[in-house]
Amino acid sequence: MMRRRSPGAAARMRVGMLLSLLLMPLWLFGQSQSRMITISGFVRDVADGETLIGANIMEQKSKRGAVTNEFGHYSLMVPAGEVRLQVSYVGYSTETLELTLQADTTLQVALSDSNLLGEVVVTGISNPSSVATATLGAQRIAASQIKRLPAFLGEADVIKALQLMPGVQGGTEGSSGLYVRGGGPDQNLILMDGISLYNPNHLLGFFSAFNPDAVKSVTLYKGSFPARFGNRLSSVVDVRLKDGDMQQYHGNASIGLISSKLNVEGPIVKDKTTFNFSARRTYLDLIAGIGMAIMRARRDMTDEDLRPGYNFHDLNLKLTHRFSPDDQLYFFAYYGNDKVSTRLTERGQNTVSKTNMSWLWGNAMASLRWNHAINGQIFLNTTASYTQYRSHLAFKVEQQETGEAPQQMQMNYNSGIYDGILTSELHYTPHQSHQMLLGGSYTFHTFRPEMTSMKLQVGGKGAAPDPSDMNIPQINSSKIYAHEVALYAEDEMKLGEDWRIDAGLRYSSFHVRDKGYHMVEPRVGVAYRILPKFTAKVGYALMTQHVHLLSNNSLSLPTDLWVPSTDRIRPMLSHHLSAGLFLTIPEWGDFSVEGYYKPMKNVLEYKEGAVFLGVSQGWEQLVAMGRGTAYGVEFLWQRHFGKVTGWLAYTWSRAWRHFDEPGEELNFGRPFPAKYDRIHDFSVAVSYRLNDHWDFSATWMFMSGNTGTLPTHGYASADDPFTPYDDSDQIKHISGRNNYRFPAYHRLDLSVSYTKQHRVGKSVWNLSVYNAYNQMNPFIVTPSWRYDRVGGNRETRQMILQQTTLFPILPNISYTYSF
Amino acid sequence: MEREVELPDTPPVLVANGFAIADRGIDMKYYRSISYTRPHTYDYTGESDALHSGVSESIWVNGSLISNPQSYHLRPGDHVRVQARYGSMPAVESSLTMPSRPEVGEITIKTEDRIEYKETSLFSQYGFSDNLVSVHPALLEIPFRALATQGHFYRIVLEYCLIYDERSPNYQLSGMWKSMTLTDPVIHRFGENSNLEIFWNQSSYSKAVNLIEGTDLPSGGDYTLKHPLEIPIALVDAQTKEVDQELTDNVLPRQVQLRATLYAITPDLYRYWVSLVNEEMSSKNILDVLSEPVPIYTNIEGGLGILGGMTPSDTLLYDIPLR
Repeated sequence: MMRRRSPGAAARMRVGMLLSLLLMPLWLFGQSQSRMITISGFVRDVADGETLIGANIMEQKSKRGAVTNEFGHYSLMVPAGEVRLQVSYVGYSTETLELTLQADTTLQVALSDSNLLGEVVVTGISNPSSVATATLGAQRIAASQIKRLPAFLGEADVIKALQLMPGVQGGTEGSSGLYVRGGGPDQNLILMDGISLYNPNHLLGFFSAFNPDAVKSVTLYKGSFPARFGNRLSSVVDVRLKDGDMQQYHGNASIGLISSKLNVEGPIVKDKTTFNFSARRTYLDLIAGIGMAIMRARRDMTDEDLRPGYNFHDLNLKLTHRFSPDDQLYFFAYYGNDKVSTRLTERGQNTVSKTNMSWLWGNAMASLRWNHAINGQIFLNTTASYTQYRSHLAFKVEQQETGEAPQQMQMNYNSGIYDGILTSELHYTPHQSHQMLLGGSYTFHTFRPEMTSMKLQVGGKGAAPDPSDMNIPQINSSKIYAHEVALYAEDEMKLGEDWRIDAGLRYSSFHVRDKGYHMVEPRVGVAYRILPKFTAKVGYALMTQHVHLLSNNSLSLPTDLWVPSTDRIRPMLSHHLSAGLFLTIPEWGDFSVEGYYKPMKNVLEYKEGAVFLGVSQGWEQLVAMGRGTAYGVEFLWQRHFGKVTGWLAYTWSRAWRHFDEPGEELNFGRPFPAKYDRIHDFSVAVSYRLNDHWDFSATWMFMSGNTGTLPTHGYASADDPFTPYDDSDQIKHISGRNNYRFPAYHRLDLSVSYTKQHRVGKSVWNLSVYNAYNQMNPFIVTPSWRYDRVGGNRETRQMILQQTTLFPILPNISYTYSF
Repeated sequence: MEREVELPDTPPVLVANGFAIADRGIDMKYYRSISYTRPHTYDYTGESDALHSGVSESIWVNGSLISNPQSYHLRPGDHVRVQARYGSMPAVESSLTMPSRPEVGEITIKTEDRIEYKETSLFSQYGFSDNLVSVHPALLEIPFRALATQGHFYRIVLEYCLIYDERSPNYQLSGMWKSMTLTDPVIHRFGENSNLEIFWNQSSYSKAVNLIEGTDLPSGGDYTLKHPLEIPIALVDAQTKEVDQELTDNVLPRQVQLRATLYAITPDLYRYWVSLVNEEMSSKNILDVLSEPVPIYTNIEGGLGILGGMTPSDTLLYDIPLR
């Protein structure tokens, strides 16, 4: 008798079958091999013991190789006997080891920074999308490379460096928004040491939350995503932080025009326990305070005292403890806040009025990670973490008339998202042709869309209750709890000499308010080596996303709200198809051309007429769900070696939205360009190292303007035939959503650094110029009327665009001392 | 730093607004659109750009050119095509097919016996803040019969008229018909239309656009539209609830007349009205500058405006004597 299976059981069975198919090549390959041994261990920097991500380990006789994972660990199966092992990492001297091995061996390798040895200058690190892999659309940038690029107001920025990559665009002038392959800023999974960071911005997006002093490497995935990543449609930005030096104390302090920062690292117990601590703070509030004090003194403003302020700060702490060569424990914590505040005191003849406003928003996160090499083939990584993003606004007005009790009114606004996450992953090398990863994670999400309260206290703080006192809960959107479970498997397969396959499968489930969503997401990348340095690749990834950001799309504001999928709002889904050619030419560098096509479902846009402030209640009715399509071609030339290094990138792309389902129509069901549809995007980043003292770098970018919606004509509406009077009004005609393309954006940034070695440590003077040729790029563009008087009292008006430019040419100087 | 950026020139185009109403005729109005990118004088209504002459207009019904469109007796199913030209502007064109005639049953009002007391803005306006109005809750019902659903659209126009005694200070308002905004779930309420406090509220006229999308009706198109009413009985003292007969006779109407007509409308007209109401609601919002823009639907090729078709049902009448 056949038993009827539940839909859940059927889904589980499908997952099982797919996993079996995935693992079948592994079994087939395992049948015909001679005796193999496993070499495993970590690859580190010889100077500070920092693990190296993406280092290559190649056994030259058998031509078998491996790459270190995000923890610097590798595992390689080779035939027993004489072994010639070459370990290389871009920017480091290659190490060749000749060994005779008969059994599984743990081998720790340390490489030297080639710059310190006076060798050819090399920057950057190995690219995961190289000719040797099946990965598409991935880029890795070293922190050193980011620091060499010209910096906005002296602050080297991870996200801004990524904006120079093909297929990645920024938002408005100066902002740290990321728009990857036609996706919105909420479609990027931004990971800080493996933990999701919900708001990667400071100062409304002008700076990112990553302190460059704490960063080890940044990997961007925008194409065939590994199965371990999920819950976002467009990209993964995997930022790994430094562990800290196991041998010696190091540090650097930097002073800039608007911020200062400090980084210290060193051993707590030599070769056992280390720490890396960094802190950063802006002092715009101090500068503004001094400015206001001078203005008050000059204008003799005794009756009014305004104290505005803004600052952001962030703290990073990472502790690493090695129990043994096979066991490491990491603790990581991050705390970052932005704070805007104003204090206004006004003194009248009989009254004193005090108005205080404070708006604080930011992220806090912590994690505890245990790495354990079970044996040469199996490496276990288990992490428990917590991440939150919250926004808190407090507004207080106190008024007191002479001889009267003070009256006080308070308003508070709170919103946020809080996640507890447990993840466990097994890196498994069962065979020389397979590198596998099996893992699972559970996330408990708590969404608090908005909580606002008002309080009126007649007697002021501390006074006895008065009958007129009032507590008025204005909005109290209840918390929404959601459970997310993911199971995933990846296998990096080598089929013969010329074929590489990255296969992955991810199962995700999301439960919110008694509603469950289950998805099976296949991911695959296939590479064929046409010539030794010329590879063709194709890839496919199905991605789903269960969280949505309600924002105004242009600036990162503290009112932005993260909300979950619900009964009405289904998870977003994309099919990402990509193909590319990858070529390496010695002495020239790496060339690639990649094309992609990405249809998306259930993407959200605000409905026509909707206002995106105070949307926490009834937000589901304010947004429409529709389809999106993004496609494009990306060209990239990268050079990692020699005195001149950098890259040149060009992207041609389009991003469309189509909302035509009944009840969800936008633009009358007709397709329209996405807000961040930028057709041309060109960028070049060049660094030149003249000698040990002088470094020069320049970046130039050009991109088509953003789209926006503008009325072009006015005309009379039709009189309503059921209205007894003429109700005709003037209609503003809009030919379509996002019908206008704003002027193109281009900018040149320059930087020169002078490095001087001292008896203890070294110092770096850096002079940078942002927007060197003073291009008036738009920050905000708003339609406006220009009025002219034409004879007598007759007045005409004409629509023009009022363009606000935030940053003209901005020179900056900074000083950094490192020891 | 701010600077002005000129927009690319967008020449004016011909605007055609018109309705083809079954049993009545075709009424078209023409305007010259204002190009925002060119200097122009501002007129709130657009009337100054109305083209009263010089427009060359041709209207065909079922392929035959007609000469007197305003008095042409249109029938359901007729195909109307309008073409117009003005000066050097591009010619405009639009067409429609008249919708089928919808059927409705009789109006019924079910009145409850219980009494509720309501505040009303009328009394504060007249300084009668110590008074309430006593009402019977009631339910208005209008049955629709076998309406076409998929791809069909409707507008129901429900109006009331208050009849006052001669001695009432409101006597001059007798006989004025006003629209009501309905609350039935099938009515598409765009934005935040506030319902009128009918029968005693003398607030200024509020436009009511009660639109129905056929797909929201049950299969087969039989549906009874429901709307709650409050039938006023008397004015009472706010504290004691005693009837103030003199005030009641002076202020409350003697009788209320209702009339209802269901119009089947063309899909393009539905989209036009939806976008227009959305835009009106959005522009009333104090946060208008932060709201998403609302494009207004047009079905005029080569120009702007709307050509809408409507076929009315029989008009239903109902009298509610109040005293």
